[in-house]
Amino acid sequence: MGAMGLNLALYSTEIILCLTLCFSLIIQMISRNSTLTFWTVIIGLGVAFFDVISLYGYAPQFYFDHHLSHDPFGLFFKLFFIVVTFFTFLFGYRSYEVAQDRLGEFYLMTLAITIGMCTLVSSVHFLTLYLSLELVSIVSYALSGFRKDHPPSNEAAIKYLLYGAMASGTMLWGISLLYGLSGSFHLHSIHATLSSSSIAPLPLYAIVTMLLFGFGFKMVIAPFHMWAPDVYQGAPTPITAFLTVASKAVGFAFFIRVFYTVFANNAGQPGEWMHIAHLNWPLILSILSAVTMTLGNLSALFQKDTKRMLAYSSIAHAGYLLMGLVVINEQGLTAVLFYFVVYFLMNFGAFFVAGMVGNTFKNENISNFRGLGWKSPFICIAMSIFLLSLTGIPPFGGFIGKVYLFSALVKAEVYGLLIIAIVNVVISLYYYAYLIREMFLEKPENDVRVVLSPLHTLTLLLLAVPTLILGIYWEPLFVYISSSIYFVVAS
Amino acid sequence: MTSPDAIAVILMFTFILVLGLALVGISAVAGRVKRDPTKLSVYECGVPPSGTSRERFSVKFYLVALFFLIFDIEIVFLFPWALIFKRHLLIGPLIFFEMLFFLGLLAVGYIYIWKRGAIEWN
Amino acid sequence: MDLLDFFILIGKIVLVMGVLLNMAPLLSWVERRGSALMQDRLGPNRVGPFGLFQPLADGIKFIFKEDPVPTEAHPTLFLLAPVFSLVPAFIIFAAIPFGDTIELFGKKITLQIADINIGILYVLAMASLGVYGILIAGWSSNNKYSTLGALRSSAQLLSYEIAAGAALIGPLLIYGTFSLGEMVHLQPTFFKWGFFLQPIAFVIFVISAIAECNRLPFDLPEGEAELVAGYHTEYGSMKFALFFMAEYVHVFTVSALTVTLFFGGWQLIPGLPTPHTSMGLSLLQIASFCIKTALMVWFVIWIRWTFPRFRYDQLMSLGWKVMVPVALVNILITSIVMVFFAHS
Repeated sequence: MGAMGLNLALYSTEIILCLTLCFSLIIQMISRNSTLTFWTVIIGLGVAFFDVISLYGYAPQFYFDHHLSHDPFGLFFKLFFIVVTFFTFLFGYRSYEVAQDRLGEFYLMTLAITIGMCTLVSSVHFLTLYLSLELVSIVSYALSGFRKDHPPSNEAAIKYLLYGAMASGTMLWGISLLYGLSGSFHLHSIHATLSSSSIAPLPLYAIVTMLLFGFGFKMVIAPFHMWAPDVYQGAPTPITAFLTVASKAVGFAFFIRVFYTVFANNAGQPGEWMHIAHLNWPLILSILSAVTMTLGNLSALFQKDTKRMLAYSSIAHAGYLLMGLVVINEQGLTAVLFYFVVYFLMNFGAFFVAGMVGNTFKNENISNFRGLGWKSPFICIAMSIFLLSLTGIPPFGGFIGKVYLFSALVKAEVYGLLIIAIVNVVISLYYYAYLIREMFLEKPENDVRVVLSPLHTLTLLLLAVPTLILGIYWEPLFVYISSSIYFVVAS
Repeated sequence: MTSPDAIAVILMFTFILVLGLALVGISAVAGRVKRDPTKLSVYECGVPPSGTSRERFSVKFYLVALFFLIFDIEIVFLFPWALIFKRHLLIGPLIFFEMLFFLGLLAVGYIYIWKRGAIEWN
Repeated sequence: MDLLDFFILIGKIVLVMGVLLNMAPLLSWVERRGSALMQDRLGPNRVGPFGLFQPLADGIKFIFKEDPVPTEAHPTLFLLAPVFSLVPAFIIFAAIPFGDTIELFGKKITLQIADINIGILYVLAMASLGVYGILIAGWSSNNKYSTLGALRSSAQLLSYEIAAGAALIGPLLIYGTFSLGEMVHLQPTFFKWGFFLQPIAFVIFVISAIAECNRLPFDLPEGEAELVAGYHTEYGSMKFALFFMAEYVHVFTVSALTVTLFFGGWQLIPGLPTPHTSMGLSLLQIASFCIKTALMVWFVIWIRWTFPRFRYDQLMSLGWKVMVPVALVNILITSIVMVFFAHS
């Protein structure tokens, strides 16, 4: 009972989220009052948030029979997901894209994804990893098709499903090959086997390729990004915002855990890794990162639809994030996690504004923004903050994030990738600035203004103000993240 | 050596399979059909058949199959639990609460499909 | 497994198969005379004393009658469907104990074809296979009525299978074993019979089992007035007889299963004197089993001729909205009671 009690205590966040899920569904079914359901989920998320904070009191350890690992890395991402879900619910409140009579299902599915993500970032066993990954993926497919009457949404769901099933299957094949090579599903056992015996490079490269198929699908890196523009454009905007941020974060999180545990040795001081012999996966990653950035930025140049443009921009950002993982050391990892926080703020903010504008105009064209700066200044100033931050212009948070990423590259002397990244930043400036120009330097064509409800105004403030502040005073966040990059090594 | 239980079941299965096929065979031989188009055509209360039989059918049948799948898997999980329940009660009531949570989750799903009207048939 | 054991096994199988194969015509006679009794008319009484040779005459007729295969039907599946329906009904009986041990040839023979240690799972699995026969029959006939009847029938079977499975969890909690032989041993005295320990489960299971056999009041799929004859519209002569046989044998098997789970199986009917010889005891146990099963079969037939047929939506509502929740509540109550009695 004692051991079980400890397991349950460490798993308490997911349990609380599960109970919230059940309660909100029952309340929605019985009372049909969307405000009541909304406050139920918000309270549930709040309880989960404070629960994660209380979990910091437990020492890092394995639990549930070495399937899950309790460490600062996992806790950081749990907090991250709860915050993202919170903002998603704020976004989805009275959004015309989320059918209000099916609000219970929306909360249910998003919370289910959150539970899956929280388990996924803690898992050190391939079975638990696959199980939670499928929970996240399959519910995402259903969630992206949430607008049943909107053909792009249906198309998004089908494309996501087909692509995801394929990626999942290939990844599973890779995992089974890894199991065959090492005789265990546990990340640390596999690492022990791989580093002790000498295995020919070809099977290892094959395994890494197959695993990258699955991981790359979740992380949205080229050439596994094909689904992203259609899915992000077709899905309802609150869900797109959630997917772009949270889904990508979970992809990176479990990628880090798997690759840094299995395929990298902890050489020398803690915080320094060296990829295992004969398997130069950082090189593969750097090539993928360069391709992703370039592809994302170049494709975004020609888009006439706001959501599609932002979708391609988020693909490009996945490329930037991947740069931080190429260097496999502490600086890179810290830079990636820091960038995730600012990325969440600015990307979610950008999609939020796009969604609000879409709510008013009932479509997502960039031309909606023409002259909007003069009619609805608050929204457009916020959008400008987000767009400039996305580009990486000071004094916004995005600039600081990019500085950390680039400095990690410089310290590791990976100059080629650095130059490609800088060129990409310059290219991205064009399409971000185009939108700002549309908003402020063009005359409005009609008198339609975008009016925000108080709750949405509050949300926008909560997103825009930190983006601004983080460009000036980011020290506390950086300290917190530096302490969060530790995950449990061998038991 | 295969277990005697398996051999027994396989024997019984073969026995009845052969018997069934034999009966069908006897009937095909002894009950030779004088071929006549009307006799052999599709039966539709005496009128000539209209339309193909492979037409669309209501999606409610698909929903029933889906719900069957979910609840049958739930029952499959309940079977091993029921087996060890009596023995594990001596250790403590935890085993009851574990399954209570599982059943509770499925009860939420059941209430959901009831309220949504997915098990209404008209 | 030596030669003697093998021959004993063959003997048991032949015995059981003989009984089951004779059950079909026997039950058809019982049904016709019994329904006549209940409807205040005479049943078959021409062919042999009390019409006992009527099934024989029917059998001969079935063999020699023309057996048309419709031109539009899928040839192989159309012929195989009755066999798909027949086989599961018979092989369920492999796990059912019809007596305790008997002393013959110096060996103790357990009167059960195979004491499978996952007996109840095997039974449920084989019972589920019966759905295939119906679906294949309906679809391969290439007849709108057949297809529709098959779909409705399989939807009904699936719904009541959940109820049956959930209902069975109750007795499983009490007995703590899957093996049917073990379960009978755990019901030694009258008040330890499953019926008294799990009355709710008994009710749910019997109702679901009758629904599983497509018997009235659940026989809408073969509803004579509704869909001609449902999924076996296009079947004639022997193949039709095989469906009929499958249904009666299924009724018999399900009654035997109910007796095993809830009425003590081959445990002696209370009030009978315990004989002194072991052979006498064994025979009396077999007789008890047969009598109990016969009473259960009569009960099923009795129900058929008492109740009107359910409408399809009533049927599905009953299955999903009443049976499943009650069965789950039964599991809950049983486990709570067991938690309280655990330390006594």
